[in-house]
Amino acid sequence: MRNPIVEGSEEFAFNIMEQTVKHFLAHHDVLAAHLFAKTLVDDWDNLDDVLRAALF
Amino acid sequence: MTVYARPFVDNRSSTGANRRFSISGLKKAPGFDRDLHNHILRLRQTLIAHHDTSVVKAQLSHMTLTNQQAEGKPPLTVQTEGKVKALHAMAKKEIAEQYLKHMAASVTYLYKATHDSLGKLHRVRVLHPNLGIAKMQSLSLEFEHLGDDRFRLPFANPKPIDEPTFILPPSSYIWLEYTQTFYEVGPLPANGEPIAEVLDLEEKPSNPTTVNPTFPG
Repeated sequence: MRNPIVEGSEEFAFNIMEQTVKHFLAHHDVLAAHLFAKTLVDDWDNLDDVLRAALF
Repeated sequence: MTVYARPFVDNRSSTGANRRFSISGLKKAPGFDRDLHNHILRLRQTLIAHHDTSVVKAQLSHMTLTNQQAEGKPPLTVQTEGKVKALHAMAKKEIAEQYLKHMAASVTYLYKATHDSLGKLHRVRVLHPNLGIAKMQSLSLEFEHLGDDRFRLPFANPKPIDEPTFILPPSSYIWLEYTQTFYEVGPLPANGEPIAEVLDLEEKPSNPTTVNPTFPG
């Protein structure tokens, strides 16, 4: 069994840093996906099939 | 679709750590559509990043002529063809709207979760100033001293992230950089005693969530 992470250790700090990086990566990507989906919905009637596919 | 799915599939960092984002908190967010989330991941894994021919089959076929009059003679093959199919785009606006609703709910959750995570990291640095120094690109900022032990909160972005150079230079592409800041204002204690106060005197945008594309100069 893995030893629990001790508060104040380098592993503890690294673990919190990794969690923060994961949040940033996920947030960035979902924000970008949201941007594409919003453009797709807002401009649906004006976009041709090629641009709809690109935004998808 | 690929951008949305990227954090939720296996994703290795340069140190080998798996950076797949767990949806244990996200799946409880109001408006998060679990079925649609799973559907997008499955589409990405099978039909977008790869051609999974067990999901949409590729076909190869021959056309043959059989002469009923000529008994015992094999059929005559006159044509050979192949056919493939790939997912191309959404067909209906309602589907795009369903995606948008789900993504807006996910963004709302992730903004707060990222802020909380930054807050935890901030506390680590406050409580353990010597931990993780080598891996974090910390900058010292000059705070405006307002007299006594009061300081004005600065608004300064950290150093931009370097862009990699491949065969084509970084300016060949548009890069999407996202910054989110956790700041601590009010009296800041050390050993239980307030030693300084940081004041937030700036007008801030109502929605601090922004994605700033960086355009080639």
